[in-house]
Amino acid sequence: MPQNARAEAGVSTLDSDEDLVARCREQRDEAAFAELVRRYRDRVFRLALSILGQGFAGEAEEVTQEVMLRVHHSLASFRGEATFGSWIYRIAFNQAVNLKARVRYRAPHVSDEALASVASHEASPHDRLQAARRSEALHECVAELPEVYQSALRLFYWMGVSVAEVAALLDVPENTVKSYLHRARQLLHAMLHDRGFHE
Amino acid sequence: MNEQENVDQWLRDAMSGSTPRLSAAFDARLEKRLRPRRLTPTGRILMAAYVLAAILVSAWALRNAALDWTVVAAVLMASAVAATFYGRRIKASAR
Repeated sequence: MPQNARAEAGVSTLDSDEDLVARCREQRDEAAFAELVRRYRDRVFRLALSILGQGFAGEAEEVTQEVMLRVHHSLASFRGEATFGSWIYRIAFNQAVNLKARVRYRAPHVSDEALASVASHEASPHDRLQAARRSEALHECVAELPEVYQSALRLFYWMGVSVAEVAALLDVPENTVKSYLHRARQLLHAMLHDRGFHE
Repeated sequence: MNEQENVDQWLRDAMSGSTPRLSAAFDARLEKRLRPRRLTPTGRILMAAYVLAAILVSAWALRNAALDWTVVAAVLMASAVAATFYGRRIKASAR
């Protein structure tokens, strides 16, 4: 919604989520709902994408749309025990995990562009090939990790999201995110070692 | 470099590709899905005609079954109440 339209509808970017939710529930205020969508759509999309992985942008967008529809239909039952953010992220996480179970048969896709960008840092053709293979193996290993580890890794490394924001998206403390990342790196190191990739 | 630093660097290299963004049509598509679907004026006339025809045919069939007008009226009223009740439930669950 453009800024002028928001102002006309009496919705401000300064309104808290709680105020907007109350207006949606009590007055069925569509402008307030549009503002909530504007605030959360990109974060929900990133969270869904972090669970589904690279090559699943279309599915992540589908999840984002379903989450917004579900929120719109269920706002009346939202009791405010958790923050609106935690509630919407939980819905998004579950929705993305459910969709992932349905599309699991699809192999994880790593674009040629991504592989080329990895390879270009290395000097010799052998090193470039090794780096590209390691990158592919790394993506496969990441896909074998528990969902929260995968999500934390992709948010942090792929999307450049800060630890604080990863914590908010996964609804866990920051130290837990740091622990997820640390544990995930340990597991990846062991998995890559088993596949014959050494330093 | 220890193992954490190695994997950290490999992850940074492997995940250096661009991140997709929501398509520009997202808001328009969502708005379309949120908009309540209403019948067109022609659709409403057709629906009203169908309901009226259904009532008349039902009344005629019930009368042919040698039922009293009171029973016919009660059956039709009960059907109308049930249809209204389920219609509201369907509408509420779709919200």
